[in-house]
Amino acid sequence: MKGTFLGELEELILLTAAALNDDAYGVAIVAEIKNTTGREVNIGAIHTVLRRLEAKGFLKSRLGGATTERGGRRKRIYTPTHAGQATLDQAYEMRTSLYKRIRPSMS
Amino acid sequence: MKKHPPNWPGSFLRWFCNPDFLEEIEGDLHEIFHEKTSAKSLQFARRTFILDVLKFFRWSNFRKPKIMKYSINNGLWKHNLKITFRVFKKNILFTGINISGLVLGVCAFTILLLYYLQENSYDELFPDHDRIFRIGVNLVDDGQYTESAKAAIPFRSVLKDAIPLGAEFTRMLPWPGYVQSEVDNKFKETQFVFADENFFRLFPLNVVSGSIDKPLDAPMQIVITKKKATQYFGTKNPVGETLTFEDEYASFEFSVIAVVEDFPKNTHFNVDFIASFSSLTQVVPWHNNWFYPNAFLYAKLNSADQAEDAKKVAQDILSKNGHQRYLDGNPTLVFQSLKSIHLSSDRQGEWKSNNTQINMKFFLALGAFILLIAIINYVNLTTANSQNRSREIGIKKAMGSEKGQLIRQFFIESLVIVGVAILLSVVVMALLWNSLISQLLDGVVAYNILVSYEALLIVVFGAIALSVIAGTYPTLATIRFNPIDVLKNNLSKYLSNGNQRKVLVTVQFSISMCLILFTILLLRQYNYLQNKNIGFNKDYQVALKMIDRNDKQNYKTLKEELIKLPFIEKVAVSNTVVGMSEGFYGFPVNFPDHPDKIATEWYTLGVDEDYLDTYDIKLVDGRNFSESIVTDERLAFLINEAAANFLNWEGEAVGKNLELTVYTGAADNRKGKIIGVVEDFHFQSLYESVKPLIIYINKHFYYTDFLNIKLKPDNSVLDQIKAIDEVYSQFNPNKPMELVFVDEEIKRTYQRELASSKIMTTFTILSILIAALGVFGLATYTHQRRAKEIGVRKVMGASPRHITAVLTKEYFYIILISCLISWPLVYFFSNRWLANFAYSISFGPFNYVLGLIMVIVVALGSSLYQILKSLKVNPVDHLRDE
Repeated sequence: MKGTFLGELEELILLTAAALNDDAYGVAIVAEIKNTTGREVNIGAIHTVLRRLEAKGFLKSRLGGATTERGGRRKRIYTPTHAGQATLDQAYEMRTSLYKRIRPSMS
Repeated sequence: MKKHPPNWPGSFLRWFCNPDFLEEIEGDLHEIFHEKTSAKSLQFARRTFILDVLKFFRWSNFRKPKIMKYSINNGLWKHNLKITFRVFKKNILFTGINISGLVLGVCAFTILLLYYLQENSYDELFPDHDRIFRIGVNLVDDGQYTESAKAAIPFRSVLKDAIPLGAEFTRMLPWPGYVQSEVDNKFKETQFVFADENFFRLFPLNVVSGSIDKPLDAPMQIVITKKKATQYFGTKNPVGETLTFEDEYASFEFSVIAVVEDFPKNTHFNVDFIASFSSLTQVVPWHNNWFYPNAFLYAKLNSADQAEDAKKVAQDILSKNGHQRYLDGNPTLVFQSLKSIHLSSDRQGEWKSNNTQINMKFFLALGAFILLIAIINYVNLTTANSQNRSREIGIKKAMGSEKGQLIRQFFIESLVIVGVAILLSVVVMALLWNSLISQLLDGVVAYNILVSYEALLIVVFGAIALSVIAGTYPTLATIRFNPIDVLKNNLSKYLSNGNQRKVLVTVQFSISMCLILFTILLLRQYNYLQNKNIGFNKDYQVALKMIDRNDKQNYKTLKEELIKLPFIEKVAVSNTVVGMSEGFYGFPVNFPDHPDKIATEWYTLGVDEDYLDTYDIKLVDGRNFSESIVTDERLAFLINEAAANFLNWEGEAVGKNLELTVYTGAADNRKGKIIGVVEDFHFQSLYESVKPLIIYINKHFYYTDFLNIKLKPDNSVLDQIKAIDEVYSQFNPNKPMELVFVDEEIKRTYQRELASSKIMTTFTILSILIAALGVFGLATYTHQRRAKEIGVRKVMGASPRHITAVLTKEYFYIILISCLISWPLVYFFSNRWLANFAYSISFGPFNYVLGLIMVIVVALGSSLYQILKSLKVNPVDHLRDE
């Protein structure tokens, strides 16, 4: 259906979701992105992108625990699929190999 | 204090959000809210909450309608469409016939519908059109009963002072003349009027420049239309400029105060120049009288239902204040609502020749019938094809298809066909628009009706309605198969004997037959009117208009100059041209020798001694006017046969006394004798029988309006006209020549017949074409279905003639029944229509037979191909069963 191409924001969110290790849901991802990059990402956009990544097969989701702060509503927790993990690896490798050409000594 | 987010954004979110995503979104929002309340203030948190909810208001989060949600249904739609296109591809011939038939039908119907809408939209652009009335008068004027569209000029001031209804009145006096701007261009303008100061309050138009807000009351002011502004002033702003207006008597200068948009075509009058009424004190100083000229008079009432009361009051005021001689003519007022004028009014002095309601209804019915023929094609071909689909239906039913699903599938098929047909017809109409349609319908159909928003809605709903109408029967006929019968190949009880198809084809043929017969009728009557011997020579006749007073007074000089030209046989002066419907004034007539007092309409024609020779009008008794007899000029009269018959003086009219009063400023009472009787000639249209006519000699400039010129038959008419123009321009260098071709003038009288017969012919051909397509399709189907039967017949030794008879037999029954249906209808309506004409063809049985032959030719012609195919094919091909 949808192509497997990853946009910049999609890649960032996929990466963050993977980094959050089983605690990746909307608010947590917003906070994490804010912490690491200083970027303010729209919460509405995050949800849309997460669903899109799931439709593309990079993420899978389940419903997690409810808390009082959430008014008793459950979180949807996202974890990367194998394809997601592979895409992240691939992206990492591509970048590193390119980067190495600039500074060969870094390896 | 309990900290909670505001309620309404949450409700809003729950309303629009897809329930599948709702829980996690709401959870996240609450969590953010909670965090913000502890980090910042409650107010801040609430504001953020509202903003965040708005951030979720996006397409991907919306609830989706069921149809998009369940992919299984999506699949079914796709499946249906796929099947539809496969069926179309498999039966490309039937599909082609169906679509092209529908395209023709839809085009015909739409064009005629547009024409109908257009003709019904007259004067609607004036905001108060429903309460504006035109006041016309029925009265006896100069001894002749007239139903005039206009009213006497002083009537308005009488009404204005007296009427208690709070109505507004405005007059409009057409006064053709020559208009010239400072630049050297001068044209004759017929759409020049003088109008009262409140004209634009009744008939507002958009202003291009200047202003019409102030009343148009100062003398010598004028408002012109955009078209004329460009013509006379180019790109210059005309406001404040001067226009020269010149009529028969003098010339005047007007100053332009405003430019308005052009009058659209769908108004019952069109004007280009609107001058203030007060200018008339200079232009036509004698205008304010009860007899001539008359002006259009409009009344804007407070509401439409006051018309009756207003009429009574006005009639009352008229009888109290009218001029005595005017009241002697027994004037009766007629109030016509603005909208009714175009489709019903046919009074003396109308701006435009109007249409009739019955005409419009006829054309609308014509369109509907053509569409009906196309729908019948569709129904017939689709039901005929339904047996080919039986197996598909059977299997679908066996697999658990519900009735509703099957119905939906077939409706999708008809919707697709109708949709394609409608799209194609829009394309076809757009392509043909300029070249064909606008000419056919007199160039009046407003294109913008087509491109409006409503038109789009009509197209969409029309497509749905049409596919329901056309699709219902075939759908029900197709889905009734019992799956068990189908799968056991036991179809015989579903095979229709085609009765319903025969009925529908009969309807088609009846309609076609009616249309063919009506077309024959119209064409023959029109031809008859064109070619009937009208009693005078209309070919190679031109009439030169005497434009100004100088022309009229000195016509003799011009006549002498013209007669010197080698190609001119004869020149005669007259006060009107035969074939024009006006100018045969009803002057008072008296017959001292006749025992009874004669009260009837008399028509008169003022001419000189050469008139009869110019038009080759024959004398049946007595002598022609003669220049050598001096008394002829005032005291001799010719009458026509109709007059002699009317007076019961057949053969003895010559020598009887006759008194005629000609109004030339003063009353010229002529007591003379009848010197001759001329053969009846049609000085009016053939709608009327020849009326009693008195011909007298007139040389007074009041009535020397035309020089009638008889040309020698010659091919170089253009050179002749050029030569006449040269002579005329020496005689009157100020005005361009105005020449009337007598035969053209006569033709114009029958314009409506010409237009109708053009429309009729075109659309009848269309309907025949559609019906022929249908017959062709059915013949193809029959050929397929009866191939085996024909094969057996051939093997048993049937001759080609026999097979042809077998294949065409049913058409003969169908045609026979359509004759029984259509002929009485045509007989009834043709007689009623022909009764409109004083002279008409007799529509005899020959015409019906001609129509019948045409229908037979169409039916046989369109099935011929299939019959030949049946005859040629080798029976083995169809009988071999593998």
